[in-house]
Amino acid sequence: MIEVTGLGRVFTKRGRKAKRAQQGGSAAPGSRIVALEGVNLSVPEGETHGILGPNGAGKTTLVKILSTMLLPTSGRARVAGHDVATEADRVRRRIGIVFGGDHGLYTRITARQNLAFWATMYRVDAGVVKRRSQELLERVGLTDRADEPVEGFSRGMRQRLHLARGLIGDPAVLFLDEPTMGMDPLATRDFRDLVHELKAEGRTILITTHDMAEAEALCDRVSLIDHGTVLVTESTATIGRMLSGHDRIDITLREDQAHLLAELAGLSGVERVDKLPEPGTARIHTTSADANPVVLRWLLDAGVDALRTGRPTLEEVYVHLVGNRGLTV
Amino acid sequence: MAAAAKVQWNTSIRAPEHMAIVITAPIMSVIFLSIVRYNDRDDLVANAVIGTGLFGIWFVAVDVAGGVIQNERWMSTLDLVLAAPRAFGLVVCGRILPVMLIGAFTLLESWLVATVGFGAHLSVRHPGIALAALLVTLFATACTATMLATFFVISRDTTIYQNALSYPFYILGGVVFPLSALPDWIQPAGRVVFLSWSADLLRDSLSGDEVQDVLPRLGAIAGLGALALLLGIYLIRKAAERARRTGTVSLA
Ligand SMILES: Nc1ncnc2c1ncn2[C@@H]1O[C@H](COP(=O)(O)OP(=O)(O)OP(=O)(O)O)[C@@H](O)[C@H]1O
Ligand SMILES: [Mg+2]
Repeated sequence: MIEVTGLGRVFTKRGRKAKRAQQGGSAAPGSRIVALEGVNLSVPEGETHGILGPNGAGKTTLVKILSTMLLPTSGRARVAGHDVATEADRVRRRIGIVFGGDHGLYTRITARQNLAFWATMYRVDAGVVKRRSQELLERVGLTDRADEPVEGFSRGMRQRLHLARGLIGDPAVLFLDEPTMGMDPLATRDFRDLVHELKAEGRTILITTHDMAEAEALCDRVSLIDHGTVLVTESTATIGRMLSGHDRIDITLREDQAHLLAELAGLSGVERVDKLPEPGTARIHTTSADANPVVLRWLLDAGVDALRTGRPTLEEVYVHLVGNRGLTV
Repeated sequence: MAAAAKVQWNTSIRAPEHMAIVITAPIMSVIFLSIVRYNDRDDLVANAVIGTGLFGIWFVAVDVAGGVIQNERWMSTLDLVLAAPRAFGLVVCGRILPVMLIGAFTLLESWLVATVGFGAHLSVRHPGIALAALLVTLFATACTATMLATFFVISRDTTIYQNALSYPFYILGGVVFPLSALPDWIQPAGRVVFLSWSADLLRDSLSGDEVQDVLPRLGAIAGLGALALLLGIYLIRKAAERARRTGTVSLA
């Protein structure tokens, strides 16, 4: 459904700085921003695919290219069987686009009026517009506020209206760029249920996020991207195993317990021990989830009671997968 | 297009920024009419009234065209609307149309200023023709403003264009003084500006004489308008392509 080969996008900065650099005769390397480079990605029909990456990784740029908002500067991409660059019109009829944040809606008109407008933009038959708008408003839980102007909506409500907007054309492929940004936990949960429903209807969904838990809850497979390139594409289950294989325990030692660090490092089940910036704190990386109880018991026996276990954050997965340059934008 | 008109209508009744012209138009009428009076040229009262009216109509159209784009950019809907299957040009035109009513209102205002304020005697000898000319003019204005919206898609600063695009049209459109008053070499250029046809036809519809070639002249206004709309849709498409290449649609 989505086929991306060798996709690249370079932004050429305009403006005074760039001009001066050009006049100076140099190649002005600072005026070029490589947002994507050599991206390959294949998402089969019906898959929910997550794009994970830190700020500036190129997630939005990728979504914009796939949704025909932006042209690639190299490589090719096909969505629903059509080239996004040369057959944009055909692609547009098959896709839905949802951006995170509270922008992208006409705020002075009502939710229902917004949907009616976008329905015409997506060439929805006049006969079904009313019914479909109502259906979508129910689905995203906005029926009570449907006839109020959007300017009075909270962020989460706008976000839900966005989702309805993206679905108005009954798209086969749905692009969601950080769709839960600004939603409260309950709304997020409802949103996830909705995405599951959409998936059950056979739609192909590409979703970008920073949130590992969200990706795990929603996606069949995820791609980690950074600095415009795909680091790894894996099934969520595999990445999950990768994660639990690298659980960690944070501890705080009293001064008289400092000697324990060395002993810990030699313990079986401990991969390594890192000192944390706070004095007396350290992070123990275990070799597998099974090792955790053993290590925990040893710590308790040794009198260490200030400890915390947790799953690795996205940051740590990054550090693990790409080394320490992971989150430096 | 009707859907876009609805959006604009519903938007405008909640906060009609473009209403400013409703206040400035009468002031302009007073200026023009004072000049006319001072020179004892009551025969030119009609010119002044029609001139301010058309000025108002055109001003509102360009203002809204720029406003629509600017607004879409601020609300980040420009990206989305350009990536939708339907032509954006129709959206722009649809949104300008309902606001044209405000433009028409300025014509009424300058009429009132002339008759009530200055006690001028203005009679419409051919009301049917006047009304037809006005309606066709409103349509053509919306279409032509759509074409100009192309510049607003390309540029992030719309106000420069709004001003730069307004004045040539006032002159070439024979809005304030008839086209025949312009130097010979410039007159053909004025003929392709629909406003010059509108101004002439409106002026004739007030005078007592038989109005010649009504239908062809209405046709010329409508035709120039339709041509502008088609060109507008095409140019906006091109501008959108360009923006896709350079990545300059959204502010972010
Ligand atoms: N229109 C543009 N002009 C110039 N540079 C751009 C443009 N859009 C994006 N970039 C640059 O491309 C890079 C990737 O940006 P992108 O928005 O795709 O990141 P992202 O992964 O979506 O980040 P975030 O998590 O913050 O949303 C960034 O360095 C950004 O500055
Ligand atoms: Mg982004």
